[in-house]
Amino acid sequence: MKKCTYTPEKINKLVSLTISSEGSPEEFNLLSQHLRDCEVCREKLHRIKYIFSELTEMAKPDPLTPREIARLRGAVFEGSKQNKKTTVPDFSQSFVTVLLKPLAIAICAIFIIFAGWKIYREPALHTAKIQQEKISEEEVDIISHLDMLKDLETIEKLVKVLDEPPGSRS
Amino acid sequence: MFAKTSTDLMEIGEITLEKAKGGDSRAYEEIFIAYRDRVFNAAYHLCNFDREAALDLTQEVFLKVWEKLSQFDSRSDLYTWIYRIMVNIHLKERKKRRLYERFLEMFQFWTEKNHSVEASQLSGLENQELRSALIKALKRLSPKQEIVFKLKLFSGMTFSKISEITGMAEGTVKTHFTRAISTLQEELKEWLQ
Repeated sequence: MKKCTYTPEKINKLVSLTISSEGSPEEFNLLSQHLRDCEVCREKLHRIKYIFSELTEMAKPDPLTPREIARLRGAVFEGSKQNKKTTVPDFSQSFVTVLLKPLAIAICAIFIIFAGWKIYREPALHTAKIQQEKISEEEVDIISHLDMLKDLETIEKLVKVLDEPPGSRS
Repeated sequence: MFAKTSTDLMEIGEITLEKAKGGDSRAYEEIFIAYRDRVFNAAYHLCNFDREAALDLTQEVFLKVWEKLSQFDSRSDLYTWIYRIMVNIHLKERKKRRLYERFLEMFQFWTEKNHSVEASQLSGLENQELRSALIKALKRLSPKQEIVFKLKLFSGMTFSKISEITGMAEGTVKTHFTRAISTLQEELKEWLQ
């Protein structure tokens, strides 16, 4: 078989011309002339045509069934009624959907991220705080009993005074 | 006045169109009946032959058309306008890659179903392999290449019509088509030898 002298770009154009069937008479003349002389391109085009015919065969769907038509009709006309309703500007609805929803989602996301970050970064600080709270509770307990301690000191002093022998007090 | 829309008007009528534009759902139902099969077929191509995805796309298209119909100015014909809406929706969806996921499910279904194979030069198994290779190759196309290629090959549109739908220059459309052919040849080289 003789080798084709055309460049790949030129062959592509030929193929494109054959598949599209759209081109000037000159282009078709060139194509038929080349095909007459070039067995390689003839063979290739034959193969491509076959493959593309297979493709067009695949592209033929079975006609719509009554069930599919009913489904489409229902969806389109039910949907269109809804659409018609929404064509009337509903500001409260659009306010909720356009502004409030994303805002709420954003706030929740920020809160979750912040809480996660806090827990991740400060567990030690958190336990330290708890300990501190415990210490302070003990301290509060002591402080609340300080008056009683003072009273105890006074009682001790009084006992000492009473225990001393009478001669030593002068 | 409606020179470009003559084909459409034969199918739905100018009065019906005007009524539908004014929000008459019965008139819109006539449009739905007139175009539903064609829209579904085109959606089936765009969704890589996934019937379920094509039904969803068809539904979305008709909802969008109903929503935007009052804006239709009759400069192009109604079907071209509907098609433009479909292409835009499809491109958005393509970005999300949902259709490809569905396609994968469809392919599983396909192999299980043992899809009937047309009489051809290849054996049944080879034919199935070729079909899966073809779909794989289609997935390799860029969004613009895909749209141009499918509109041309499956819907049989002219380059000028595709240019009208996609808003690209006719030369650009041709370039995308040639590139799509080149990509497909590259992807299918095993089958072309």
